[in-house]
Parts: sequence; C-alpha cells; structure tokens
Amino acid sequence: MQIHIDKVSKKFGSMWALEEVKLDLEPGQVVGILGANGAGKTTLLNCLAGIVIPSRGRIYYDGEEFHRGKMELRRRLMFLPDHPMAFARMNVLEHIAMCVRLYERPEPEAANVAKILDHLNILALTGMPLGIMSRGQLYKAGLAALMVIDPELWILDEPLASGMDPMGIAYFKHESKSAAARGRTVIYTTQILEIAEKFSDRICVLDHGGLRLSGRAGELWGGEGNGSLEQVLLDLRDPDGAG
Amino acid sequence: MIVSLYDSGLVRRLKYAAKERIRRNRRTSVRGRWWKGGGSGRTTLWWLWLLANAVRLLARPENAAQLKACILSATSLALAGVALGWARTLGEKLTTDGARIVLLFHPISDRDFFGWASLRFAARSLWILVAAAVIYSLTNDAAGAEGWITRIAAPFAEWLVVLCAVFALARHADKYPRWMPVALYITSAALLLAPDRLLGTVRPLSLALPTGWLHLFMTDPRTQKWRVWVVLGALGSLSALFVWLWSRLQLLYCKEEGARREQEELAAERAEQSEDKESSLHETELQEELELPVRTAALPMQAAWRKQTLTNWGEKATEYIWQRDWLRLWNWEELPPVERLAGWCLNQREKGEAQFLLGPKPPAWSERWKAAVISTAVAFAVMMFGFERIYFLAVLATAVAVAVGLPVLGGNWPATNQGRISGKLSPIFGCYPLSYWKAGWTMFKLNAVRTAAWVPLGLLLGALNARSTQASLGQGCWTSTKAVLLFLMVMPILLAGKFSKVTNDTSNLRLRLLPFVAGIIFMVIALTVLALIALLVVPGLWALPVLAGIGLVSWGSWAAYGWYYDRAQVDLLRERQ
Repeated sequence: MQIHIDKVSKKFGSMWALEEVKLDLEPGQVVGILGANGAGKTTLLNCLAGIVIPSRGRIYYDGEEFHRGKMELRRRLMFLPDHPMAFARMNVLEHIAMCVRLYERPEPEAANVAKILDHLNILALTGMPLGIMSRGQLYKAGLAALMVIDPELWILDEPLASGMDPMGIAYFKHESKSAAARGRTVIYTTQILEIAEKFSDRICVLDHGGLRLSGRAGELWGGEGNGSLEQVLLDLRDPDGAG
Repeated sequence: MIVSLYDSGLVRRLKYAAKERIRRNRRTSVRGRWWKGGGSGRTTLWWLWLLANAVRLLARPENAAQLKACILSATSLALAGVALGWARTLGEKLTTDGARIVLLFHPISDRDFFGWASLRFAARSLWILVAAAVIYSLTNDAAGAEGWITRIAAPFAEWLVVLCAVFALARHADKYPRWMPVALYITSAALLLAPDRLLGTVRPLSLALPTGWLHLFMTDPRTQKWRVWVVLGALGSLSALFVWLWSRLQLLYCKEEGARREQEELAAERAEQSEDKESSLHETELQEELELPVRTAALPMQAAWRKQTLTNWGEKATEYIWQRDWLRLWNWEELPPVERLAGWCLNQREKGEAQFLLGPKPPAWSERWKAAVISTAVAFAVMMFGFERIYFLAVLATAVAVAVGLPVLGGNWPATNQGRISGKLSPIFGCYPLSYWKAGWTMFKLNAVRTAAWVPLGLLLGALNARSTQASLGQGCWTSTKAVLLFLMVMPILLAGKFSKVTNDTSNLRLRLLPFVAGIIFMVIALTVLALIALLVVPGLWALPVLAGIGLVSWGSWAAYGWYYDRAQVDLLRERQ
C-alpha cells in the first residue's frame, strides 16, 4: 500500500500535536517512528488509523483520500494501540474470530492460528479472558489477531515496550520482516533506538509535531561510521550541545 | 493523620518554575480551560430540585403544611438514597479505587490512607449541610431563640445521620442491591410530583428511615415542647456515634495491616530463635511452619484454579483450534425467543456486526422481557384492585417495565463503551472498521424488535392508565401506541448518541462548526416540541403526521451526525476527566 501523508497537522485545544507532516512511504518497508515524549508519534498513528481526523492536510492510501467512513480502506489496515482494544470477557480465539468477521476475511487456517499463538507463547492461554491477562499477554493477543488478519498496513504503537517477553519481540520482528517482504508496510513507534536502528528499513524522527528527519538509519547521520541515532536525537533537541 | 497528600505551596512553586523555563525556552505550554473543571451533576440536580420546591412552597401558602411534610419526607428518602449510594462509594474508595491502587505503591500506611480518604469523603458531603439548612429554614415554624437553635443544629444533625449511615454501611454495601438508591430517588421525585396521592403512603416509609427520625421528632406534636432539646440531644449522640463508627471502620480497615505486622514480628522472633538451634532438621520444620501461611496468602483459590484450568487448556488448545467452533457466529436460532426474533431480522453480515456491538456474550433480552412482564403484572394488580395505599408501587412497577423491557436511551451496546489509547479514552469500536451507517441500521433493527416484543405490555399499561384516568380503553391503547411509535421515531438520534459518547465532538468545538451544532440543537428542540404535540395536543389519527415529522427530524439528525462523524472534526478520543 502506497502511503502519502500530505501536510497533515493536528491541533488539540491550543496545542499543535502535528505540524505539516509530509511523508511518502512505499510498500514493503518496516518504518520506525521515533521522537521524544509528546513529539506527535501516537497522534500520527491515530491519524493513519482514522481514530483522529487531521485539522489540516490529507492522507492518501494508493492515491485514494482516506477518511474514517471509507471501510474498504480501513479493512486494509489494522491499528494496534499501546493497550489493545478488546472486550475483557472475550478470550484470544473469540477476539481473533471477531476481527476476522469485522475485516471480512475468509476463515483462517487453523494450523496458522495455532502456529502464531504457539510462537507468541499464548497457546495455553486461549481460554483465558483478555481482561485478566497481563499487559504483555494482552498485547500478544492483539498481535496474534493482526498477524491472522495480515492487513496491507500494520500500525503498531510501542510494540517493543508493550510488556512482551524477548521471544514475543523476536517473533514480532521476524513476522514484520517477512510481512514487509510480502509487500506489507509496517509502521511502529518506539523509544528503543538500538532495535529501531537495526530493525527498521526507514526511520522517521518527529519533534514538536514536525517531521525533522526521514531515511535509512545510516543516512540520518550522513553515512559516517561513528554516528548513532541517539546522537542524532540529542542534536535535534539541543543543536548547540548546550545542555 | 494525613490531611493532604502533598504540600500545595510546593506544587505552586514548582509550577511557577516550570512556566518560567517554558517561557525562557520559548516553548508553548498547554493551558487548562476554566469550563472543564468538572463538577458533580447529582449535586447540581439536588440544588435545582430544592430550588424548584422552595419556589413551590412559597407560591402556595394555603397548602404549606402538606407541602412541608412532603418536602421533609422527600428529603428523608433522597438522603437515604444518598447514604446507600455513598456507602458503596466509600467502600470502593477504601479498597478498589484508583487512588487506593496508586497509593499501594507508595510508603503510606493503611491508617494514614484511611484518615485521608475518609476526611476527603466527609468534606465532600458538606453540601448536605447547606441543603439541610435551606430545608429546615423553609419548614421550621418556631420563632425566637428556639427557632434559630433548631435551624442551626438540625442541619448538622441531618448531615451526621447521613455520615453515620455511610460509615456503618460501607462494609456491607454488597448486601443490598445497587438499584436501591435509585429507587429511593425515584420515590422521592414521585412524591414531589404527586403529593396528594402519595404522601399518605410514602410518609410512614420516610419516617421509618433513619434519615427521617429527626423530622419525626421535630414535627410530632407530642415532642413540640422539647424540640430544642431533642435536636441538641440528637446532635450530641450523633457526634459520639459518628466518632465510634469512624474508629470502628478504621479498625476493621486496618485489621489486615495489623495482622500482617503481627505475622512479621512473629516471623522475626522465630527466626532469631532458629539461629540458636543447631539441628538443621528442626530449622527446616520451623521454616515450613513460618512459610506455610505466607504461601497460602500469596496463592489464593482463584489463582490456583486458574493455573489448573490453564494447564488443562494447554493440552486441549490445539485440538480446540482445529475444531474451528470458535469461528462460528452465535446460533441465533438456539437463543431465547426475543433474541431469536431479532436473529430473523438480520442477514449474515449484520449478525456479525451485532455480535461485535453486543460484546462477548449474547444479550439477555428475553430475561429482561420477563422482568418487564412481572413488573406489568404487579402494576396491573395494584391498579385493578385499587390498593390506593400502595399506588406508588404501580408507578414504580410501570417505570421498571419500561426501563427493563425497552432499550431506553438507545440500549446497551458494549462496543460503544470506552477503552484507553495512550492515556486517553476511545470507544472500543474505534480501532475496528465499523461503518456508522451499517452498524446504526443494525442497532435500529434490533431495538425495533425489542420494542415490538414490549408492545403487548405497553398496550396493557395503556389500558390500565385509561382505567385510572376514566378514559376509554381505546384512548388508553392509542396513547400507548403513540408512545411506542414516538419511541421508535426518536431512536435514530439516540443511536447517534451511542457513537458520540466517547468522542470529543462536544469538547473540541470550533467556530466553523457552530452552525452545525446549532442545527443539531435546533433539531433536538424541534423533536421535543413535536413529541409533546403528538402525545398531548393532537387528537386521534392526526398524531400520525406529527410522528412522521419526528421520524424525519430524527433520521435527518442521525444522517447529519453520520456525515459529521465520517468526515469532519470528530476524534474518537476524549480526555480523561
């Protein structure tokens, strides 16, 4: 799915959470959105998912203007917020079945569902209501539904700080890479620079609502060997190094 | 005792310093808005209620005695409702409330937390004192010093009665039903609406409640002479009772902490003793003896059961997934009658949507319908056999039949409830591709089926109402039919409200949106006026065009909101209050 974000701005009250963000994303990429707390990362994801409507600017998916009412476009993307939205009394299988119906997907292969749940280490929890799961387990349940649906655009808020265990994170990274290889686009936010650097095909840095940098990890510090994402972010905040 | 969790002076200084730094760094700060300060809706309603009745009292001096008795009885009932409701709230504040959970992670003792929470709670109830002062000023005839003493002391006594009831019931809130406070509020409101009919029946009930005892002593002719002493005596005894109840609740609340401390002390003592012992075997035994109760406490029954269940599930999960039963929709044919009827009206896609909107479990509409039938039967019996003394029961039963049997305010749709995204609130459906238009139509169809199932009860209630108002049977049934049609006609705008409830559509208003909002407000006013005309003014079949007009306005509002929801400035996010 080709994504074109055209000068998107979002104002909450008197504060601009996003200011004229302009970005083009080709399909088949893993895109990491970085930035300080309050930089506008989650707001950007909310705009992409249709939860929030931009105050100015537009979002286009495959050249078609996106808004919340366009169900055919919304079924091509799935948003997993930091705290997945689910009914507390449903179990993970009921949650997956619900998503399959809402996204109008054919019935999934039982073997595939079992494999995903097993890899995420929640196969034994299939009977457990989502409301009593830990945060990491709940995120895995949401992630399992996303992987079963396999939309063209994966939008994930803080998957690396979701409480998932290292095996879960490793599986997420593996599946994201293979999804990107299949032509899917994976957009996620994170604060863990070391992982973002190696895992992302492209990194976008937001600061005070504006898109400051975008490109491959090495390109962001000019391709020099001794640079790092951390230094890039620190320079962005305090270019003079005054502290 | 901790009165405040933090030093407000320090917070003020820190705020000032933060603002200074923001100004120096030329960053923008987010300013709070004065109209978003919150406030208690119930307190406002209480004041409005009191004001309206005070005006009524002053406007009708010829019926002053009856109205005074009515106001005192209604106050007694409402305060009993307040006490029952607050007892539950206090119980929750001390155990499961957000502040309690947060403070568990901070070094604050149970005793200090109890002191802080209960003091805050008592302070927030001060409005009762003011309200009671107004009521006693209006209803007290005594003049001179006696009058002033009762006017000042009685409100304090009334306030203490409520607080005593709250502190006495806080540990027992699970033993009475949740609807009891609401039932008392409704009875109180009904009494004010129809004092002539209900006063004789409800007054004994209100005086039997602890919140009515003070009125009983103050208005009874036998206690007129020593009214001041009654009030002062009550004030003294209630103060002593409140202190005792407060300390008793504190003792009960802090008991677990005391027991834990005792256990820790015992463990420390035994550990010291065990150091002296040379036998390792004996040490092991002692260790087991010490650890056993701790282990038991750390693994309550529920957790143990859950672990066992999980083990079993682990073995069967794969098999269950392969069976694919979890992918099936509910079998609407096997559900109880009302749900089955609803299933017949939906196609396959709509069934999937309905299943999402209704949440994880099938609805219990048939059960609710049965409760409505029972309530109607009670109303029928009371009205047919003319039990004038318990007429209020018929009113209450009718209200229950309507509230339980019909999808009042659009019905309950769990998918429209709130969840959380990054610390803000968002509807559960927000993250899923759910069309406003298709889902709204599905919701309308289901609500229409529920309403249709209720129609026979509505006709019965209409006929009974006709009997009590000396109207013809046909007129009674026609009024009921009009009410049902009106209910269906206003349904679309109620369903739009379901989509609106966890959005920022009313808090994020912009100047350019004002005409749109003004249009919606105009439509709602037009709906209300048309509804009143259809029900009360227009005779016979002429009500039908008016009802059609209501339907047009309601569907128009629904469609307008749909456009606004899809394309304009509605975010499916709302700040937490």
